[in-house]
Amino acid sequence: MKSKTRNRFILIAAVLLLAAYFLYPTIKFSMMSEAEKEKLKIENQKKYFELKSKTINLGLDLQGGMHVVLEVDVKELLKRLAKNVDETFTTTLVETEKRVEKSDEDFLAVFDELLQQKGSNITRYYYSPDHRTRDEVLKFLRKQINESVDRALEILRNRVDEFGVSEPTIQKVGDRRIIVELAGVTDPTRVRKLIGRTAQLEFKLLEDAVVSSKVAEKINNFIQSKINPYDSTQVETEDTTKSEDEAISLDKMFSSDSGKSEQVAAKQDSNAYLFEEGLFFLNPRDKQTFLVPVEKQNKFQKILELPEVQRIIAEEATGAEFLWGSKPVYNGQYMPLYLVRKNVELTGETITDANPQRSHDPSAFGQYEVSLTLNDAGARTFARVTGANVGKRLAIVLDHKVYLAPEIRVKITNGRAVITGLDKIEEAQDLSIVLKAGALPAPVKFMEERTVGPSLGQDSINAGTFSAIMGLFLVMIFMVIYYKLSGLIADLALVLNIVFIMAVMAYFHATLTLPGIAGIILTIGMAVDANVLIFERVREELGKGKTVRASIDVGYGKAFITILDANVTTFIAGLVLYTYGSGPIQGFALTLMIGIVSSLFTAIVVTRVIFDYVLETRTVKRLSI
Amino acid sequence: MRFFGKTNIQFIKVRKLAYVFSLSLIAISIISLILHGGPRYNIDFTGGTLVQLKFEKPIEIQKVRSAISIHGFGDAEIKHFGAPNEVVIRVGVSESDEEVATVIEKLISDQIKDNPYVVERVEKVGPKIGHELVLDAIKAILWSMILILIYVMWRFEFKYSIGAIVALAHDVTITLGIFSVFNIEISAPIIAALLTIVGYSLNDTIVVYDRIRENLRTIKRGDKQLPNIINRSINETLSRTIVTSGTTLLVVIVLYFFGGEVLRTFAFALIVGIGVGTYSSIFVASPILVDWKWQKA
Repeated sequence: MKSKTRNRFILIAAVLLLAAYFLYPTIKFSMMSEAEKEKLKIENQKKYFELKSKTINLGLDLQGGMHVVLEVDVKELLKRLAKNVDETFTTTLVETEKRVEKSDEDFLAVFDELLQQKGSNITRYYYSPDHRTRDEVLKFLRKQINESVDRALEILRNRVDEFGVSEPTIQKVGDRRIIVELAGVTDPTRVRKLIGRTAQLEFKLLEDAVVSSKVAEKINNFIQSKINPYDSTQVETEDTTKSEDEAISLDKMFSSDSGKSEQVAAKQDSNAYLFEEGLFFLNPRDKQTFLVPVEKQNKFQKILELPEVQRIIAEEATGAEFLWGSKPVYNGQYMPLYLVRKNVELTGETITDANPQRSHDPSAFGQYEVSLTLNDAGARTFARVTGANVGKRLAIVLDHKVYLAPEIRVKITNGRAVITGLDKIEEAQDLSIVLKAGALPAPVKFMEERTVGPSLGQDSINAGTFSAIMGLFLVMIFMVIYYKLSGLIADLALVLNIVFIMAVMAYFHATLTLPGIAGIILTIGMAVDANVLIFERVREELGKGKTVRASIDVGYGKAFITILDANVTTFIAGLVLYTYGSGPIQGFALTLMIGIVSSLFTAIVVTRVIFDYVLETRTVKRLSI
Repeated sequence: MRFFGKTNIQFIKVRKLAYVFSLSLIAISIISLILHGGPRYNIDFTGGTLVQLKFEKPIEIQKVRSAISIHGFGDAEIKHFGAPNEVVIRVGVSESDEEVATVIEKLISDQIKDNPYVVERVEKVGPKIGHELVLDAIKAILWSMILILIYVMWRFEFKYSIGAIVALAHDVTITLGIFSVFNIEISAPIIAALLTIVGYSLNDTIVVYDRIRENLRTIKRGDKQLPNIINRSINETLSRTIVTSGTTLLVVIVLYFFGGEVLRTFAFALIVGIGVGTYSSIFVASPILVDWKWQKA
């Protein structure tokens, strides 16, 4: 073998190996049963997501699910923010909506314009000491509109866990829209409720460090007792022996009930996988914060739900509950968990404003803080709560998730508080969004809603796969009939091409949609084009009486430019489609583009190497083409 | 095996006939489009609600219609979808804020009790989104044409890009026309199909152009022989054109029959487009070079 041919062989082998490496997780994942996936997800969340992130993602149209496009409902927002609403206001609002519906005009600008035409003024409805002039009011309203997208986004992100969807997409598009994609969720009313529900912002006290430590110790003992049943505390051994006794006696007494007791035993066994070392620990620097490794969050949540653990909480920290933090900490490794008193000290509706700012305190240079303003009722409650609990920590809880638990330093009487010690401006911004979420509206309306049931998705996968295999088969047979042995080489290239497309998709964790499958099928038909061009050229050259070697050289050489030119145009069309298309269409454009690039490699490089190898190892008088 | 040996078909000589044929197809397309008041857009573009239901047993359209007409959905479009037990119900944008899909589902559950169903698909598109989609689609088609034009100008000459663009406009118009004649709806995936046709049709055209360019270099007989060179180039690439179009058509036809109902119109657009695209690269894109060049000379 010539060294050039050998090098190419090595290159192809390397690419193939790489493709196999990329595809392995997808194959492994698709071989796993639903139950196995669920188990891995609870047992080791991190590993599960790591594996999943290396597979080809199925689009919503294939796996079933919901795609929702939301937009800030400016009309509703204006309505809710307005004071002194009168007839003119209401009619103008409706007129504005009609005019804006089918144009790109800005709602607020049109509303303002129409009000002026009617001799009215926007300041009449939104006047406040902070914004008096028309420009100031418009600026204020614009800020409200922009902020409400962020509020809605934050609320959605916070709540979406409730669906238990593995990879929810919540994405801000442009400055007014949010796209929500939930795989497996097909009930639009659930999403509607989730989004429509008003955000609940509450302030609750954290349990003292002494209590948290005690609870932590007991839970730890309980877990240890489950790991080593013979080496545990009194209470737990008593419990287990008791239940074992019960099981045995029941078993003996009623043979008919043995099934039930087996179920109990089986249930205990099925929980056994939950227990292991290192599930949680108290933050050494902050004895009121439990830290749970992110990948074990699901597991620990299950443990928290066990009746034994619920009893520990009820005994040691009466009137308290565990609430998760909103985001992982320490480089995203640990999820914080807090023991929070159930009693609501203050609700978010009392907050009138919250703003991020740079810290004024010289000792906290470079840090950020959030200033908070409460209404009169809130200020009174706040004064009482802070007065009675100086030194304790007050958790800011949005929809049952703890965002932050700052310490109460002093009694705050004027309804103006400052939350200090935030390291980044983003943190301060997020916190002020959250603080406002309980009081300020974030109305959204559904612009687009697409739901695909799981059975339709499965039908589509089946029909798509069948068409692809059938198409592939027919094209392969045709190539062998038309180009004989050379056609077989092209067929090999075609199969490799499909493997490569899948591998690239898996590597980028790209989404395969139904039109995407169509794109692959189309690629099957078009990918042989390069080989057809080459083979036709080779035939021509052979027809002119050239030798096999020369014909192949000339054929590949002359066809190459044509192939390149012809493919670039299709690629451009794919690129434009990817830019302007949405969801499923992008999936089509993606497979088409990947298919073009990969077919250039397989049809030109791979087939050439095979021809070269054959020509070098034996004397070929006549080419089977 | 080969379909064609060395052919010498006089494509250039019959080009006037081909022009008449193409022009009449375009005329039919445009007339049909005018008569239908433009392409028939589906809810992706117009906005509205689509509900696809799968019943346990086959169901009559009339039964579904009477069930939902109580609530004023009498003019809804109801069709079987792929199977007699599957129906698609389409309703335009409603004035009220009610949840059209939920209302329809409830009406049918209440009225048709002996034949339970599952919801296969719900699509609800606001009019504004649809409006934007139309703009995006137009932008996408224009941009792809402009970019391809630039590429062809760079790789070949300006005259070639004119030929390519004429062929493209020809293909897209006729495909849209055929959709209009058969009264098939244009959905978002159809726009994707149209763009693919744009790419594919050019693919074919460029292969012929490439051969013309090569022959112009190697055979030096003066410009007067241009029609011959073009004719020869089309003949030389004819076998490839037919084989590639054949394999592509093969898979698209498979997709049409076995790819499922959702992809059927998409596959249909591709079948029409590939057919028209192949025809145009032989009978339109290249012959036009002859007429264009003669005029300049």
